[in-house]
Amino acid sequence: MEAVPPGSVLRITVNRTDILLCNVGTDGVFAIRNRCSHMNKPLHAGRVIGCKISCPEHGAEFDIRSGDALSFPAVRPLKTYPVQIENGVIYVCITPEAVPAVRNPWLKPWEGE
Amino acid sequence: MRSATFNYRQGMVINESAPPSSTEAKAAYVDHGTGVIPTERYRSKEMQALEWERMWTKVWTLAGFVSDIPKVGDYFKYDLGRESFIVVRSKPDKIQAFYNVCPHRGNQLLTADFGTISGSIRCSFHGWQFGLDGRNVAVRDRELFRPECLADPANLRLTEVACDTWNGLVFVSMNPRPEPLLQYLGVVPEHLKSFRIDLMRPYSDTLAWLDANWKLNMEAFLEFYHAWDVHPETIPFIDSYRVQYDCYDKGVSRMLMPYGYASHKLEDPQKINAGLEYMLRAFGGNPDDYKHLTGTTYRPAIIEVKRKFAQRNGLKDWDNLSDNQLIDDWNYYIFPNTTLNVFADVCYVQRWRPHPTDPEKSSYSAISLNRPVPQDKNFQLTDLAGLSPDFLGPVGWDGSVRPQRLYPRELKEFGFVLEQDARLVSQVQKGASSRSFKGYILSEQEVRIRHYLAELDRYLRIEK
Repeated sequence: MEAVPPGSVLRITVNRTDILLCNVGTDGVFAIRNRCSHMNKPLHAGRVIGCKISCPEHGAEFDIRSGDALSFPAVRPLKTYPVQIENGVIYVCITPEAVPAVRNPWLKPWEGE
Repeated sequence: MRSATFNYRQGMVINESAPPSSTEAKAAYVDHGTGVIPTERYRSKEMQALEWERMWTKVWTLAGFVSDIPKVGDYFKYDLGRESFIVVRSKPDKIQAFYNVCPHRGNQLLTADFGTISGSIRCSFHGWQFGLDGRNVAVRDRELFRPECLADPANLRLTEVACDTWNGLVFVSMNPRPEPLLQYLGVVPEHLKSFRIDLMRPYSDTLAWLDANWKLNMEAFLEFYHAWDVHPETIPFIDSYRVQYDCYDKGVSRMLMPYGYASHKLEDPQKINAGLEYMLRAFGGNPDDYKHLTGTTYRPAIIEVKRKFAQRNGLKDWDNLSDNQLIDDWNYYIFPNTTLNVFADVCYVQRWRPHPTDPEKSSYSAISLNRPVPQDKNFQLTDLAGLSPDFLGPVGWDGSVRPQRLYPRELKEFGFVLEQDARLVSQVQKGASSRSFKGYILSEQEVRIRHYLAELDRYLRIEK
């Protein structure tokens, strides 16, 4: 959890998937795919304000908690992943369709870049 | 003991021994007369159009804060009436502002309140690109345009507006040749120079649309004559009767609101009430140390406690504040639509803006800028918006995470103090439109209303 202080994002790669862990403060930590639903550009350089992230390409805004697109040119939502936090460690579940199936979908804790 | 007479030319003076040249000194009385103020201007479409053409497009208005655009590429959006602006940090030491419009087919370029641009500003309609300085850097498939259409680069770039900063506040102007910002602000920079607003950070940010003309909406906040009825909870520790009202050049005015007095209107002003003790505790003071005082002599105790707070937390710039600046609310009005409630530890910024089309609607923006003091493990910041029932925010807030702007739709989302004012202004807008209502009858504590209207009339070129 120390790697993702409130208001910040941490870019990680899990099973070849580019993920952004976002700490939106009191609402907690969320995981979104690091690709804008508009033109698939990376979001990690975008601004996080409250629970919203804006894409640095065209400025489309998303609600990090649900993935919902909040403004044009984004229309479709972001791909989001369930997150669990235990003892200060963030666990992300990567859904099987993006990557080869694994027996235990709850992955080992991220050790930091 | 309060006498029943009032010398309006003298007014209330908080610090009678302040030298005439000091910022606390009472300003000379500005005589705007005793006329009744008719209310046609608060609902007329013609007046709205005149205000736009002769005033809004000529003045400087507060657009946002330097701290909201720390890195190159950071921007915030600023809307005023029908117009929208992008204010962007284009270089490490430069901030520029543009109309938020693509010169191709008029698309709005950016819609988020805050964001970061990587590389260039890209229009989401046909992909035209603009540098952070507004220059056109790409027209997609430009061979598709006949050369005459793209011949003049001035037609292909973003339209810039004047942009300047003071004390961490960013102002913009649509005037192609505005007067220098520091000149426009009149006495404000000099009077507030000891308050480090640039070191404060946004703690809360709310924008609400209310059913009242921007001027009528704002007028409720230019005087504290209404405190007793609208904000009775403040009576224990603010003496609304003894507020000092001053009018200056450029339409600037202020009210100095003395905190830490038990108002003489209380049943027993000598008693140290809970509100006063509360102010003391907020800065780490112990009420037991001051039980020998009375409600009307408590003010120096709070000042002493605040000085100690500043010392132990290394807030050296507070040494530049006089005792009265340390404790009171220095509420300054900047023409046409902004007030800054300036305290040592908070600057509560309020702005009122016209609706794009309806003269009987306006937005009310309230942003609390607070001084981060995370080194004090007991300090809870002052939450003036009353978002929490005891006006206190969290411990350890360091201002590093910018809160998002909230758009309350229900009155109960406004926070207690804002809700009081919000309910009020839509009622007043209705009543003041009555065919029976001849116009405002104003007390001398409401002189700031006469003063800004006089400045507005100068812009509108309305002769009396």
